[in-house]
Amino acid sequence: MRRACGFRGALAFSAALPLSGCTGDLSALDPAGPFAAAVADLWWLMLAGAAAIFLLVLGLFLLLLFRPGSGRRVSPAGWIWIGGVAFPLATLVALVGHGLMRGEYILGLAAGGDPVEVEARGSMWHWDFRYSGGARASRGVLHIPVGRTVVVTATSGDVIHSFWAPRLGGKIDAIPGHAATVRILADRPGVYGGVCSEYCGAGHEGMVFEVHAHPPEAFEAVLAGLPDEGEAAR
Amino acid sequence: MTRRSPSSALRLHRELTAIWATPPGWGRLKAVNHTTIGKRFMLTALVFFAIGGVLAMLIRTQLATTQSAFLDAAAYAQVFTMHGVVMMFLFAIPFFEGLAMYLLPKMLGSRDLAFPRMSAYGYWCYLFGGTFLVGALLAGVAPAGGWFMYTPLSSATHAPGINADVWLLGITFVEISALSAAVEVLVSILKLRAPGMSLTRMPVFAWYMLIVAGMMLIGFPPLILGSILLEAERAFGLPFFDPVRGGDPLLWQHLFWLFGHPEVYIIFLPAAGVLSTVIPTLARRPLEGYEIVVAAVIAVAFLSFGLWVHHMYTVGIPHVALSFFSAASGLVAVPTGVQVFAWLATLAHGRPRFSVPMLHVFGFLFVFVLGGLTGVMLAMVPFDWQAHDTHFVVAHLHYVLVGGFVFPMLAAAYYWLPHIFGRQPVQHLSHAAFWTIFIGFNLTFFAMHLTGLRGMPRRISTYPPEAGWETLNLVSSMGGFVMTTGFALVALDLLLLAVFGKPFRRNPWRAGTLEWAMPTPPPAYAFASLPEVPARADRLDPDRLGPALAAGKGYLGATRHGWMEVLGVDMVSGRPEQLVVLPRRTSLPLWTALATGSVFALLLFKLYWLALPALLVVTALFLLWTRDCGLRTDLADLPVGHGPDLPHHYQSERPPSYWAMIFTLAADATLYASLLFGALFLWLSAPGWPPGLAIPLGAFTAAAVAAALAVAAVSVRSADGGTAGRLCVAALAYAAALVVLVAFLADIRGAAVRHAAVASVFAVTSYAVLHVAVGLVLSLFCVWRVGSGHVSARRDLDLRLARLWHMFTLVTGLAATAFPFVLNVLTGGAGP
Amino acid sequence: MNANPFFGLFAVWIGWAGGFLLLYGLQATGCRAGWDGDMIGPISVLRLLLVAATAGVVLVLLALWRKAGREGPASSLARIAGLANGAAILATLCFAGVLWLRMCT
Repeated sequence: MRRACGFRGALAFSAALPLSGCTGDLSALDPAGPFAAAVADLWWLMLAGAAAIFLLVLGLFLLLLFRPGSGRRVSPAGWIWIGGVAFPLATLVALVGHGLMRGEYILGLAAGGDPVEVEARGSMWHWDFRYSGGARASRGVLHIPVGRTVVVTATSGDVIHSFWAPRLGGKIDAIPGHAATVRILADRPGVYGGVCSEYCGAGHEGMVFEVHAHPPEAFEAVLAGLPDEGEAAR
Repeated sequence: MTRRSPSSALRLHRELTAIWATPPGWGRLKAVNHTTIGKRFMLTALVFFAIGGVLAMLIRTQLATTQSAFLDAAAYAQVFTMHGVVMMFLFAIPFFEGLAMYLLPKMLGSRDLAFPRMSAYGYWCYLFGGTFLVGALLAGVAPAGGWFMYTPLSSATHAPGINADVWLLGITFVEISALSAAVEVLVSILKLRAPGMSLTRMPVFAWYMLIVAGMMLIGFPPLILGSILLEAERAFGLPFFDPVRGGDPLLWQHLFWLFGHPEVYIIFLPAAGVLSTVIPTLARRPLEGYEIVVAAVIAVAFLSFGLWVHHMYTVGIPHVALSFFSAASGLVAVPTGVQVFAWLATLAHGRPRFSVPMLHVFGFLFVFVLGGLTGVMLAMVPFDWQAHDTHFVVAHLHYVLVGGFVFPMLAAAYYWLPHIFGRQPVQHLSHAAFWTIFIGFNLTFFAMHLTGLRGMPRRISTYPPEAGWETLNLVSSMGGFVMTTGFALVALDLLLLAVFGKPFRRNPWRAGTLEWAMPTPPPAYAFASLPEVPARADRLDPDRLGPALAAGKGYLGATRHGWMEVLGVDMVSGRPEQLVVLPRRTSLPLWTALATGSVFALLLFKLYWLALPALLVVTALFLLWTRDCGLRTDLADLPVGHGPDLPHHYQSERPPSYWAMIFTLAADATLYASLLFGALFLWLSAPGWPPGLAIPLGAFTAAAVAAALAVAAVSVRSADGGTAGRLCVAALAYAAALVVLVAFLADIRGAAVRHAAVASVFAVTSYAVLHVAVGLVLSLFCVWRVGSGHVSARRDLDLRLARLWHMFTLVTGLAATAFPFVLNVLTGGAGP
Repeated sequence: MNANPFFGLFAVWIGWAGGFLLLYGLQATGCRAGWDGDMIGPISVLRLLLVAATAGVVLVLLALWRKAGREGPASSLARIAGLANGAAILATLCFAGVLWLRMCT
């Protein structure tokens, strides 16, 4: 994906932005697991389709403007029913169906056996992570095993926050009174960035965290070495 | 009755001007004319646009470099919140309202809108409310929780200052103007048209505005309800959104976006209406696919109410539910595509000429198509899980709103400014100004897509160097300053037009719509006489019609009694059915808006016991408006210049005010339905349910109120000798219901702050109290009208309007008394 | 159609909006009540209910379409109504997810 990103990204953006690539600690276009990759793939697909549609519509407009009469052969009803109804309807039905299939994939994939359950609790302005029902806990760093689906349950004790580790999967809002989940998955060890992506007051930009993905056996050891939640909060 | 045929066009012009024109000096404060009010709306909106633009510059300055120390996080929060608030509520909506007010009567062949004083009142509410919000920014107490004001960040716990109250009260104050404009536009389009202009002969812009106004009528009440509930939570502790006490922050999100998404289309559709008017003129061919375009606009209107949850894909709603919204968000692109291809078809079969408005049409198409495409991307659930709340969304929404509103409005400006000023553009700067805006805009926001995908969340005030977002942000900031320069050039260009532009005879674009069949700048009365419309009203010949109308050869080509006369037509066929006599200019709208503003100011400073008398002053002032309305004697039908004589609207069966009442009640019913659904939503979704305390049922209250409302509703049947007596019975019944309901409210007040279930009962009962109180006022008002001789068997309009209210109050009141019992059953019957 | 022209224009869309609310409400209520866990064969009670409700909505919309289409002559307004109503029928595609998507997660 990294290579493809460089290639297609350069194609898409090189005219305007020669200095930018699309890799980075928080880049959703530099996936480090199947969930983020599924979305990044979807993005490249949609980008290609969007570019084609954009060029088509703009091209038609400029053609009609600068070559008057060039569109007369198609009747007005033809223009409207083909360009305005049939084409978008077919494209959109296909795209929405495809998007929902990807969603089902992300919601359903249980890589490496039973998913690991962790709780991410947002507070102004830091993240606390609880493992095994609170027996183990960490602040600011989330430890996960490589190759195994992790179900993150987001909660909050004050205002709405949002848990987002872009290279591993989508985001989920941490809403007081609710406990919604998001699934993340890393397919290689490493340190991945995470941010709060829902505005939560003056400390919003500082509410960052890291996700440390460990090989499975190392993960058990790291987990065993973590304090319980009372100690972790100190 | 004196009725003279005019000896000349000039004499008719003098007579009509004396009747319709706004006097100079202080008399300007009495203006109610649609041309004047429309221009004021647009000019004021442009001032707010400039303010919003300055705020945008502050944002771009802050984000241009990493670890910027230009603004601190708290100040930055006020700046980005107010940028959104100003652009959405104080620029976009009022600007198109002003444009619609200015254009609609002229395009429809009428002389003014149906309720000129309401337009003036709406304008003053907008001006005062907007000033109030911007004043708060200058005082450093502007709202700081984002323009969307999510709770609990905006709750009393986390936002203890008055900042959030400024938003809730200020926006609600401004929304008065949006709702009154919606009713006004609906009734004006449906009833005040030229004879012969059936619905399907209307210029397509009128169809767009008809549907937009309907959307506003249904879209704004959920926002107003949300604001009221949140203010009630902040001020009185009723916990609608507090998860600890049975409330739910998600309720706010649903109410906000139930307004917020249709809002985007409410802003886009008027602009699309402009394009559907301008493109055919420039292509020298009437719009292709008029019928399918109207059907497409209807489809957009309904679909736009079925996609609000696409702002909430990341709150944990199950996939199947998200799929409804995802599919609707995708499908809404189809009717939009229909419109785009109808424009292309018009160009294909026309003989397009390139001109400055067409340049902006190009700007629209380029930018809006990109915005639409990213919109479809964001409608895909998994992609949104990544892109939501990043700068990708910032880029998308600016492509949609600038593409879908600002560029079309610039096209509109270059197209209609000759109409407003009677001068044609100088053209030296127009092209340079367009390209500066266009290049600046794309520099700013194209880069931002990538910034977002590379992980930059929205609303952060600083970012670290290692994030790798600096180059992109710097490009965006530089682009922003280029774009601002472009807007400054446009302002200069338009100023040059107004001062140095060349005057012209008539209809410079060779358009086929009626607004060009009048002198420019337009006289206050618009048409000296009203045209008969024999064909679709974008295929007329203004050059031939104009002189004939000016000579008084159409309908109403003479003055009588100094009346401001227009024709009321059958909604569908456009057959004339009544003579509508509009009320004269007055400063009452200004005073009423000032009094309304004082109510909001008193609420802001928590002076509740003063707010109540201020509310009574507002009511009294509104009642004073009716002094100019109505007749004291039965009139015979009146001649209108052509065709059969017509009844005065006060004696007609369905005058404009009747429809205004119907539409107002529709908005009111939407608010009530939102409230009831809101309570059900809490039962379904909020933590802390079922409540640990008993839901107060008030069986006696329910029975007493139901009986009283029924008595009130049946007391007033027809106008005869006993009417006043029956009205007094109705008033007494209402008074009794009011006492019982207020006692019930006092009784449950303590429990209402403990759990949202009881708070919901409190809110529903309060709604009933408000309606019963208005019913009481209306009954007494009718007694007064009977006494002052305004009511007879032929003149029973006041009674019929009041009766609509009474029936509505009966139905909603019965629902309110049943509500606690329903809630009690749902929560497992914990009640006493 | 003269009796109430706006019925012809908006009827099917209003039905669509009502159906939308019904299905969204039914889904939320069903998840809260745990009907997605009650299975009839391989299919959950909630899915059966939603599919049945969707079918009901589509039938009602088709009936409204016929009723709206029957009224009045073939005027321009009737053609607009026909197009708008047809679009509303097409928009029931929005509910296709009830056949195959996850119910409560």
